Amino acid sequence: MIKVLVVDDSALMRKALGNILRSAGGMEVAFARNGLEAIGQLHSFMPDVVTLDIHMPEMDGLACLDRIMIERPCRVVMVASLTSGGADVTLEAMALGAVDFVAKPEGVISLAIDVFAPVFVERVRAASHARLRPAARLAERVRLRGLTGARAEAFPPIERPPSVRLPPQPRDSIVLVGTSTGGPPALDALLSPLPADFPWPILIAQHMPAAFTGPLARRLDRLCALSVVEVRGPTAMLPGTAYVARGDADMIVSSRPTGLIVTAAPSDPSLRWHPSVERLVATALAHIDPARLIGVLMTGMGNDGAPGMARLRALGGRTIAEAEETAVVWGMPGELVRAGGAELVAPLPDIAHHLVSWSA
Amino acid sequence: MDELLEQFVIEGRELVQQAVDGLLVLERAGYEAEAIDSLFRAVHTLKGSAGLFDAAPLASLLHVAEDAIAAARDGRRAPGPEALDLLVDCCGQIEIWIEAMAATERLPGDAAERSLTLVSSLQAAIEGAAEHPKSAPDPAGDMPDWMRELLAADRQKQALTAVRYEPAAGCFFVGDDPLELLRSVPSLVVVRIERREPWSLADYDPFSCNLILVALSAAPPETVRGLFRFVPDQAVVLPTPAGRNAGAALPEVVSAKAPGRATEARIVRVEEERIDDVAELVNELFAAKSRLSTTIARAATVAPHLADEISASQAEFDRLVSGMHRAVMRMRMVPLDQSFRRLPRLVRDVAARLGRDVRFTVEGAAIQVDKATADALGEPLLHVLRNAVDHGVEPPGARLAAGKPPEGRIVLRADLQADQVVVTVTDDGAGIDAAALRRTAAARGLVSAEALAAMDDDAARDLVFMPGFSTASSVTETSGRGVGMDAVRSALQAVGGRVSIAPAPGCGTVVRLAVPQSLNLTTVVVVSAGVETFGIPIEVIRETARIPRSAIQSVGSGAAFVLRDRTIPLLSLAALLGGAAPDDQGEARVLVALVAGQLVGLEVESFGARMDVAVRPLHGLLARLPGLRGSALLGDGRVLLVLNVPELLR
Amino acid sequence: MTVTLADETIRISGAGRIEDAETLVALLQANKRRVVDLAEAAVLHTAVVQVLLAFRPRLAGLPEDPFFRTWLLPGLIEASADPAIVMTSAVVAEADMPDAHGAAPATPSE
Repeated sequence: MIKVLVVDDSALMRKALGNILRSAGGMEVAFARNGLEAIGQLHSFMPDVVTLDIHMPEMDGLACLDRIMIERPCRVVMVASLTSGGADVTLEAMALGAVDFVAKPEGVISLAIDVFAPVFVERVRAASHARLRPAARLAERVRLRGLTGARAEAFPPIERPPSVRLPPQPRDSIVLVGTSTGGPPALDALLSPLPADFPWPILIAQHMPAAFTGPLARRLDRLCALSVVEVRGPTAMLPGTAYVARGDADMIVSSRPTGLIVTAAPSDPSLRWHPSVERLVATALAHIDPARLIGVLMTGMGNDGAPGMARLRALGGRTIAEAEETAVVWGMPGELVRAGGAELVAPLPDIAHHLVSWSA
Repeated sequence: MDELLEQFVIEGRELVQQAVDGLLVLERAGYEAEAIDSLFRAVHTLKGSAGLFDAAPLASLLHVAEDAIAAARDGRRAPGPEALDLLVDCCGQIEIWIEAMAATERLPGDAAERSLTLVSSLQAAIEGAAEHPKSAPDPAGDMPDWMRELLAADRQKQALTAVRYEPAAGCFFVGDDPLELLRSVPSLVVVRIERREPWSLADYDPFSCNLILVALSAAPPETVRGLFRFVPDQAVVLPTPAGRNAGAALPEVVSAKAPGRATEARIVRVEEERIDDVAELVNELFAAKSRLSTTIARAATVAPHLADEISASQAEFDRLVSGMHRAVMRMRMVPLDQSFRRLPRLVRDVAARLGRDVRFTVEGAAIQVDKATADALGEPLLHVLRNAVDHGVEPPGARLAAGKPPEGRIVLRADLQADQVVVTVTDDGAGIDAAALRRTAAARGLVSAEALAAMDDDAARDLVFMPGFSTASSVTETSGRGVGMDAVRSALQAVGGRVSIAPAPGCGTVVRLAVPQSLNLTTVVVVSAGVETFGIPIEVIRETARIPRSAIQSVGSGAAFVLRDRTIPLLSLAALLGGAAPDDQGEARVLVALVAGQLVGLEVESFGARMDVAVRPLHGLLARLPGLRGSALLGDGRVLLVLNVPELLR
Repeated sequence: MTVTLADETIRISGAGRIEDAETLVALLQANKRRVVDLAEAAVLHTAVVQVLLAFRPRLAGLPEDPFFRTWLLPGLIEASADPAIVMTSAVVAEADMPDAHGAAPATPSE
């Protein structure tokens, strides 16, 4: 029995989400109308998973999440709106310790409830097994808070030497990163230790809706020494730059007369997850010597990228799977390990060090 | 109703109200963080909720509204006046849809279309209307250039449908294949492909659509429009005029389709109260003007020249004040349609709930009336129509048994009669059973047995207007609840209106509601009858005449006289008002009035001045008297009762 | 569909799917004089047609697709005077007017 606390200021949403969870079976559901009630329920109801609406009066979702993570850390799934403002707040929430998010059914391409329901149940179930990251340390929190702008002056923008960047030389490597559930904070952990002059381009496929990847790239760009950009069209790959695939689309590698490029391509309907790690790896293999490729598969549900990266390793490329002890959901990296495709299995904080040592 | 939907309706109503409250604050006070936050939350929550139902038009409208509000919020400014207006319109529309969902569990059939119109206006407002000048037809009504050029390429000169489809650059990412869509257009005549931006071959992006597809088809516009229904924001489909000269425009065709607002009258939203303030000042001007007449009369005795001069100025003053008054009153005029619009749905819903088949028709919705009058008619009409469906029209089985078609008819008809708006609701149901009414009244102890016995059927029918009276044997969900026709009557009386109920010709019932068209100035002729003076609205008066007694003939119990070869019935005003008939004099002073197409002579004691007065509805005891339209304050402070002649004579 | 290159001729065969557009671009960017053979091509995705309209390679072999032949081909073989207008195709006589999928002879633009 999974105990789920649904926090939403809309009675309708509470009822809808509650119905979905109850009819899925194996769930005990309680409700809170706002952040204050949610905090109160933490100790009485002792939820395994909290679903948290971001826009609430009294105490907004973020403030509530912050309190939850301090008072009684538990697995929180944000119920987010598919707007760019909603994306920023959601990413902030993930950084504060929320394990996942689901996009509220809304908007023009309305996710009908029968489409939303299985996704929601799946996410809540997965969240109940998710590993709670140790609460972000105070320093970490302060660093994240700096993003909101209130204390921006205390955190001057990271200096980037105006170095002339050359496209990757034939011997240089290209890093392919795939991740899903729990990915945004993991990407932060992966990219922030890398120096601004990291010599290789990094291509990132993070499963996400279209509205979220731009904010994700901007956020990582502010947090990390590397340049982080979202790929929306043909883009030449440069060293020291991380390329985040546009959401709800795929990212492909292609070879033009001017050199290697990466670009956004309409998502391949035969694949389940987008941006697809499989397609990224496959197109990279089509244009780049496998020996120059490094595959990194991190936290996430499912198996996207595991077959591709296993093939990558078989062809002579290098691969790293995130270790089970740090992955929020050890699905994708676990599959890679089971397929025998992981050259290295490393906890999240160590992955960056491996990359740096390989590039030295 | 589905529990979720029920919750949605309850919550939706509140959220719309919250949104409107926020908008009103923003309109009045400009940017206010709290108001815009509350507005945003309301719209955002509503959008989230709407996503749970099959209500895409509602969701997309909320989506754009949220964008508009978020943009304003992030910019720390209130939305512009145009955007505010549109947002208020959106809220109105959403409210209508929520009620529709409450009643029918789904959106009305025209929801997609209405949503589209509002969405595009709202988007235009957000983008300052500058973003898509080429794809939208020229709002001035000219033929768009692209169509003119296309037509030049066509040599057949037949009536065609033109389409200009500008796919979004990212359309491939949502699975669109624009040429595939064009391929599905039947009977293509001309195809032109344009590029939106110059090609950039060096860093060519194959997944960004840079094409504009323009085509002429011999298929009808509806067919073509249907094909492009999933990309309404990217395609313009227009009929081309038949038998045209190449390049000649048919502006009305184009402008009728133009989403632009420029062709509509500019609308300024003003609080009703502010117009009323002006109207009140104008009324006082009238009173002041009347006092001037007294002054002039006195001046004439001492300084005739001066009096003439003042008199001339007064005439000018008079004209200006009258003009001003008309202008103010025009501001308040709205078509009755505003009150009538929700009625067909109401009738349908009530009929569906009660298992009745009803055909409902509305006539005269274009009549313009004072806003207050339109508002005053709204609630009473709801009630009268509910009654018509509930107590009037019988269930289909009973109708068949009575030899009537199973489908009942209810006709709502508005007419202007003199300065009154008369709205009749006629049903072809079983009619009112006066005996049953008497029994009910007796059973409830509302009226004494003797009084009931003395009542004729007309009076018995009037029992339905008694407080607490309900004709249905059980209190039904639709019409019961203890408020009945008495509520209708008092609501109408509050604005100087009347309601009556009568058998309809043939079968059924007709309920007649009469209210003043406006609370405006009425020109009255002051007459005296008995010891009182009254004002009679000039509209009903055809002429005044002095008729020798000898020319008055007895006809049955009444009297009549002949005027220019027409026999006209003669009534005594004093007698009609319950006073004594005038003494015989040498000649009778008669007002000839036109009432319901009939000439009627009204005998009065004397004719007085003609004056413009502001007629107000009566309150208190007087309000119960039939035949009185209202009261007017005269220049000397006296109160003049103004008669409602048609009612007096019924 | 497949996009193959042999002897500086790019051959498109089967249905031109959207992902083939990038392959085509890379091949045409490398050498603009390459000829594109469409004889074995079925219905082409807009993205693929757009590459042809943008790069205007020499064509060899035409697809069966009547829609392509009637409405797209004229624009692909004739340059337009106005650079913004890629192509215009019009039916010349009523008898030539094709229905949605009917075959009609290619009619050059005026």
